[in-house]
Amino acid sequence: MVLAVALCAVLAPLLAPLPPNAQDLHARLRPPAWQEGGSFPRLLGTDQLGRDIFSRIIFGARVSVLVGLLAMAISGTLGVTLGLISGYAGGRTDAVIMRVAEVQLAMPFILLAILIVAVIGAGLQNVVIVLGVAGWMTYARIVRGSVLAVREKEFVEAARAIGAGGFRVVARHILPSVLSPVIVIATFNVAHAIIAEAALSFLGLGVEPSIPTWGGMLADGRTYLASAWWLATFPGLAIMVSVLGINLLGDSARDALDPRLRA
Amino acid sequence: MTGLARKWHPPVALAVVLALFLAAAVAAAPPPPTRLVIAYGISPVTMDPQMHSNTVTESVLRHIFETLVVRTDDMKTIEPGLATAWQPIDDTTWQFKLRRGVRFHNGEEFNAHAVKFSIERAMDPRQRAPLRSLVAPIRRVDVVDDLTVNVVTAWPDPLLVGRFGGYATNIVPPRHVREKGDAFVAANPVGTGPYRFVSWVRDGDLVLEANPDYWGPPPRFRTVIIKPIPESTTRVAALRTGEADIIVNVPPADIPAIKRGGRAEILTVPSGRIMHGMLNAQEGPTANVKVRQALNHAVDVDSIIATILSGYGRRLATVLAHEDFGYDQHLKPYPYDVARARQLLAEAGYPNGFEVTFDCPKGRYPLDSEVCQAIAGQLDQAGVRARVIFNEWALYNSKSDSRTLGPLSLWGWGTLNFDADGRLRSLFATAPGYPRGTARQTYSNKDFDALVLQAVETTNPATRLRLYKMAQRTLYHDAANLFLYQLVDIYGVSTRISWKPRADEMVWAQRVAPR
Amino acid sequence: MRHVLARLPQAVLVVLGVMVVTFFAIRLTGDPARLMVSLEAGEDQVALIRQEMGFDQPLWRQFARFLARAVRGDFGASLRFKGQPAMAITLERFPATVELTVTALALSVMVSLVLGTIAATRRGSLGDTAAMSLALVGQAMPTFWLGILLILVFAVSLGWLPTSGRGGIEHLVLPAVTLAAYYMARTTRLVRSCMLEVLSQDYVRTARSKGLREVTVVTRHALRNAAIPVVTIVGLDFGHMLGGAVITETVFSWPGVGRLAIESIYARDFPVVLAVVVLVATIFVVVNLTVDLLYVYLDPRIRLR
Repeated sequence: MVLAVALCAVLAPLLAPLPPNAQDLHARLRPPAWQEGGSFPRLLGTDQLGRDIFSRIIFGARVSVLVGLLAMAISGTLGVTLGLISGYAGGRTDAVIMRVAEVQLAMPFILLAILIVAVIGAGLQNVVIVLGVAGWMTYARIVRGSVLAVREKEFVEAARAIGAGGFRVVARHILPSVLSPVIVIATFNVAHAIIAEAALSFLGLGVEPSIPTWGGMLADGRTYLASAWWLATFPGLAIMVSVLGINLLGDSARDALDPRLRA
Repeated sequence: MTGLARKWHPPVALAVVLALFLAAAVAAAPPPPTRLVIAYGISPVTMDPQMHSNTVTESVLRHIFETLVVRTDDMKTIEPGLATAWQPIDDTTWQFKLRRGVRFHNGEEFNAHAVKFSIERAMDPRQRAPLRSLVAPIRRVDVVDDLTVNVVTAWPDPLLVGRFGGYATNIVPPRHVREKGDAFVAANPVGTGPYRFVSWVRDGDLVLEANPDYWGPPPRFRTVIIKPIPESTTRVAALRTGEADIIVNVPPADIPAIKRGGRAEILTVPSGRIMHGMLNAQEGPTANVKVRQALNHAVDVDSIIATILSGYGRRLATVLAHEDFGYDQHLKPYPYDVARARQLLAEAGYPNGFEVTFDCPKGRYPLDSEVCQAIAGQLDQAGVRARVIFNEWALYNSKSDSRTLGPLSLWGWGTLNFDADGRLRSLFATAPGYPRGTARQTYSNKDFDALVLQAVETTNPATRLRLYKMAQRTLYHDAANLFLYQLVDIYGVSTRISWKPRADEMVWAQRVAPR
Repeated sequence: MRHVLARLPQAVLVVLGVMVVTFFAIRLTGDPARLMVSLEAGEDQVALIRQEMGFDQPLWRQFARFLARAVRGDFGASLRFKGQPAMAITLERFPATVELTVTALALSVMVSLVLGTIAATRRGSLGDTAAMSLALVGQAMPTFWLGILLILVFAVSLGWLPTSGRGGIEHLVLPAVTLAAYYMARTTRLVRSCMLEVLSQDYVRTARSKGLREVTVVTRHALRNAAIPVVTIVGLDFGHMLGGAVITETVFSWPGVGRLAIESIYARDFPVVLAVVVLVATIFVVVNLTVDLLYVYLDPRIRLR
């Protein structure tokens, strides 16, 4: 499934029946082809500017999946690392990291985004940075909690007793046992980032309006939800399919990393 | 948590949900006809009628407060309000006769002192009334007798009477304001109007009740509820279920569903707000008048109105609305002509077009993002590659103030008085001595300046009309902006009531009748 | 107790940090004076407000003045709600927000514990598949989409519930379900995942081999040990819902704190934004502390250092 989405992204120009930005004001809000008023090749209908939704979804896969995965990678790496340090080191280090997390948790996401727009400007790269930086706290707190529990367990104590270094203990013994919740958080993070990208477009931080994204299509379809349901529904389904794929990927990754789970 | 899990039974959950639905079914019975519910997209910002510059707040507060004069629904005539008559005494003095026997909701008497107090409150710099500019020409207010005041202006002001029609010139009770203070007044309004204040939750319901002692026609509804419903789909849903009787800003796409529902109809009125594309007339390709003319030829405004706005818009030749005093109906808009646009671009030295940044707000004006993208798509056909950038409103204004907006940007401009002066002078005049309406405008033309400045100092309507016509033609030939359209306000109105919308966005229960 | 006391000075630092970051973030990215009057009011009016409100002074000085008053609880007057005290406006919103949050959180926790546990103990069964499909939908469905869908179905088509606004319990149903959906989906998956992990551990096998009933094994041993990540995430969700239920509150026109925060940010109404973030920060500090103490309760071997 992930492969299919990836293929879409790579082969978009070949797969899409129409150019993603071609407007036709006189053919706007056309329903999907199987409904009355719809017609081929506009399989999934047209949007508020008469652009082909199917083609936009195919092109949208490029940016959306990339943004979702990269943002998750940044948040995850940052959060897991800080969470491990926080939980394992404890004391003052723990306090500093957790208090910084609290400061950021209390700041509204939109304000953080506005601040970053003002400082570093707009663009695809910055979207990834904003979404990545915005999400590390959940990982950190989850990992820290698990580390606190694992830290006192026999096998960790044992490893420490035989003289294993701090890093070794964390990497070999603690990391695998906190992975399970992290993978759940990560898969949700991807979907969330894909949708949140649209909020950044609204602030002028997002990717350029000429580049179709699933989040942007969803957001644009918001006011048309009662009158033209297909605008927001199909990008929503696209997100769901990719997320399903990522979930399955996450599940198998966990099973692979944790041999005990193989039943 | 384990305890919860153990005690949790699906049948219990089912029963709870069922009970909730039953309770809801009872509560959702249709409201009695003595109640009127008006839904806006935003909340009023204060209950002090002189301390805001916000249309919704004004609309809401004019149930409670009144003004000396009132515009008729068509905006053309000024009618008596708390004043019964007015006349000029000399070039700079107007005399107002006041209505007898009017009392504020707290029993305080309305008289000349209340008028003097209210206007002076608006004029006082320490009061910081956001629309102090409305009373700027006034030098002083003299009490002649209990029911007569003289208003003295610093210069002859052709628009003076209209200034007493709202916002900073609402009449407030002097004793109440003096004794209770501004902070109290901001949450506890006391006026002379047909409805009295009951309660207000910010971003929630404002509840009003009929004022039995009202001097005018008795209020038709016992209760009026005014609520903000920000999500347009939800607002439309509330109209369709009968929870709201009047809703504002109906998205054109939702109109068919409302009509099909049969419980409500669509009423429209041309708005006082015009939309225009600001062009940088000082730097870059758009500094060339031929380029600006080319852009005006390249955009198919009629198609945009017909499709995106579903016909709810009126094409404009410049920036004056059809209802504005001074509007020139003989001036025809630039025709849509891509070939002509390309030719003008070539003459200006851009045979292959050019690239341009097009800054846009999103969600500020009806369908703004759609319109921006459509304009960009059409400019592209003429060879002008417009790169649309969406902006959050505050950042957009910061860009405007720091002059970092792109050469093309989309703006709306409202009006308080439906007079050419407000738009032409604020938007385009550059003469010293007159503060600019806006920092972002880069257009400057001495002939134009002379015309609008002369017009503002003359009181003869025929002369003013002639001057404004000439001014519009100058703007038109200079293609000072990308001229677009006048908005049309779209209301959803329950079939239980009859009402006529106004161009100044005021929705007043006193003008609504049950059917 | 010692631990709780040690957190106090840290909490003060958190609140101070939030104030500094928020104040400068909001003031450096837009001009509040510009947004206080309509466009048509003119440049001179904006300049006047800038001067009268002291916005033309150095920003650090404005912050110092603000802070000096804020420590006494006076956050100044709201700019959007002209002249009305910022902190009072913010506190006024909390009952509505707490009502919505607590309902949604209770809904989310109860449903996800049941679904997650069923899914984990009967891995691969129809129940598991159903629970995970539901979680997938909740995960990928944007909040506004679900909210509007619920309005269209339950208010417009069926006429069972009101579309929006705050009032009786019937007003609470749709927003609470909408707000809970995403969190419910995530917690369900988390419960399932952690339960699976725990159920494969040696001590659960031992418990089973001792002949304990499966229900006892699950509720007494497994759930308790799986609870740490779940408690953590529920704590975070609680804080998040209190300050960030923006979309739900907007779709259902619910007069809560999230909407107040976002609209104040857009209006650069910094006194209100600061009042909100200070309250939300305080809540996060308290919630995180509670969660830490819960860790010790759930697993007495944990030591908080």
